[in-house]
Amino acid sequence: MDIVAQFGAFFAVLFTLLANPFNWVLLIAGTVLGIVFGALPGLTATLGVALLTTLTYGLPIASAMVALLAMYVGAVYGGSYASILINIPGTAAAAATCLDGYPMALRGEGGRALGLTTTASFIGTILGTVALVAFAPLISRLALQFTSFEFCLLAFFGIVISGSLTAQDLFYKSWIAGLLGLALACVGRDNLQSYPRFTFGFSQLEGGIEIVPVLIGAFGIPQIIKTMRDPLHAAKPQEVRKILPDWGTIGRQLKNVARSAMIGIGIGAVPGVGEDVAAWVSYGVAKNTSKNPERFGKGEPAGVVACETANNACIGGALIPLLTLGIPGSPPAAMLLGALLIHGVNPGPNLPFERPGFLLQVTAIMLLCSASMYVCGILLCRQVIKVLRAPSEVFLPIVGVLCVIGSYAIGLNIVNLYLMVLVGVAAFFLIEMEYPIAPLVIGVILGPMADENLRRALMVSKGSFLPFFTRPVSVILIVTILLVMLNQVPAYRRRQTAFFDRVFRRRPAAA
Amino acid sequence: MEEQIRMRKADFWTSLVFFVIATAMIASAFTMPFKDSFAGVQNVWYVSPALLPLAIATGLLILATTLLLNAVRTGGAKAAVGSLGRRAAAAGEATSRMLAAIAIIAGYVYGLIPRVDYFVATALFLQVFIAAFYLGRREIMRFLTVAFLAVAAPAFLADLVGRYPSPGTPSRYALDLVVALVLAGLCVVTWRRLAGDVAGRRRFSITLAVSLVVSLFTSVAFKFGLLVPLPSEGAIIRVMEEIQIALRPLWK
Repeated sequence: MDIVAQFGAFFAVLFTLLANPFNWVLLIAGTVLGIVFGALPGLTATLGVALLTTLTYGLPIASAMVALLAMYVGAVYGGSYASILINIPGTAAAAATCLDGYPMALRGEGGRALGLTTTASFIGTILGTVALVAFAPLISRLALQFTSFEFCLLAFFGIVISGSLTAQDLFYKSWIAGLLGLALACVGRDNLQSYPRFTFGFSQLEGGIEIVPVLIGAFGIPQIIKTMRDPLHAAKPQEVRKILPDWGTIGRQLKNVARSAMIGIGIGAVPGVGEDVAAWVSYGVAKNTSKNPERFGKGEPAGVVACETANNACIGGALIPLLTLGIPGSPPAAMLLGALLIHGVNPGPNLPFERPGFLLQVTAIMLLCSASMYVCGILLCRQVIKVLRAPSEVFLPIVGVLCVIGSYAIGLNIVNLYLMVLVGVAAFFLIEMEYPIAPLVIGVILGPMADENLRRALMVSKGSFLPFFTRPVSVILIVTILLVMLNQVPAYRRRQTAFFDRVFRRRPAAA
Repeated sequence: MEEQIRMRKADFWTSLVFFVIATAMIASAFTMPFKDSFAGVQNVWYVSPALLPLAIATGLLILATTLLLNAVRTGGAKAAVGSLGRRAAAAGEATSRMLAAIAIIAGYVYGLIPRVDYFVATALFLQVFIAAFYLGRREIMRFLTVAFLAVAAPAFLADLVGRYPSPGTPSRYALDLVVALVLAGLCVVTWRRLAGDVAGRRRFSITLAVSLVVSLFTSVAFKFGLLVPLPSEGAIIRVMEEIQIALRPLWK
């Protein structure tokens, strides 16, 4: 009965959304804009969501979410266009799609590859949404048992784990990035005593650092500088004749689709780790489990299906920690968090009480976005391909203007712009030195949560750290944090590999 | 290998920067209330606002030391110190482009946007930024970047010393017009420099069209559509307001 009532409520929300013609306009415009943002190399889903946040803050929350999620879903899918047709990934999430998508296009199967990505992305988004609606209430219920001790550790867990999967050079560079993010979050008056920290006498800094300009700076400015420095001179896009949804191939790939979706959802739920990691992991797994791994990289449809299912399934996964714990699962989800905060929505365990029905609303919007993405993808594909001819030197300065005016529009504070550029240039150099940016951003977002809950927890325990080690969830979080950190240390990993080799594998017979 | 040395060299310098940041954070944290009273409340160490900053700074200090030691161990520190005395090699193409991009963005945000009419500032920024890179000619990129900074830097410095005119004053409008004249002058000079380059002139025409259309569109969309006051509303935005007032009876 409860399930029937839930379904009834879901369809009521869906029809309410559809009854507003303005939502239709936002849905289609957001999707098309998202596909264009994804298709253009140099523009990313995160940047798209960031810029749209600045344009939708005046709208009602439901309409704003329609536009933002449509942009998110469209951009993650749109990245495959450039990957398949010009062999340059439109977004990092579609980098793995190049491997088999472009060889398919070279064989004259560009239309088939695009049809496959459209269908796989559609299924991935739907499965991600199903996971969201299935797991979010459970996690919310569990999170209600959390106290300051757990929330403090959860914030550190988010920062540590987002760095563990995104560090490329020295493992501790991700920790440095996380600490820098936390340091930025300390600027302004503290929440408990209202004491001004690191404000240097500037009254504009007393309110703290606004998240959206920092996020726009961290994701937008480095992208602009990098692309202007190394312009993307795309080759002429491959010819595309007919774009048809290839349900037959998808039908033969059901196992691959299900596995990739699960990988995408799982990786999406890990804080700060985005669609790119999901696509690469699922590509690797699809190749390793295939009967014909030698065909991968030469235009194997299974490779395209694996990447595109996973990166879109990641969206639903990324929304799970965002809505239940207030911890973004991916960089675009971090932007969504900023947008939600602007609209007065505080994601976290209390969300179902503060805004009952919000989860259902997000689920309904995700469903609409996936349908819109599928229809726009099939119908407008040939028009979007024309966009690929636009030179990056022309559209990135325009993006620069949108970053500036967008950041200003949110708080009408010129200091936000100064910060945006400072953070952006610093982020550019950090990226150049292979510091991952995800932990920095997660640090800025979760910093206030870590600070407030650490002090609140110590107040409850009168300065004792003992409850951190006596509460079961706290202990689990501490052990997980330590394991994640240890797992990044090369010496520990070598020993771990040697141990597993000793235990599970037979030693070669002595000569 | 060369890439590794370059990275470790950079690590050496960044570790020093992190040292400075961490030390400054610790010094600043020690000025925050620990056990003394603040705003009538007697503090205890675990409620102190200095608690997290101290933890962060200590962590940063430890990691900066690790980074420094690694740079020393792998030869990055030696390479970094060794390159100090040598004259810096002429900037490569990529470095010039990177510096030009940073300079133009910084000039726009720190120099023009807070002071010059939004439409004029944005049109100038877009014209310079697009043309500098889209035309694909290094000498034009240099010329446009220097010319842009020659406008943005004095505006920033004048405001810093409190000599930039206040908003709404005739001298402020006059300065907007001066920047608009610079915009027109740069157009003419760039066009003349492209003499004989048909493809270049075609690209510059696109640049001009894009810079004017985007500036106009964003001005109108934010000011009259989203009702967001622009960072600096000067002569051109005032003209737009007058036009809007004059046209209002048509849709009312």
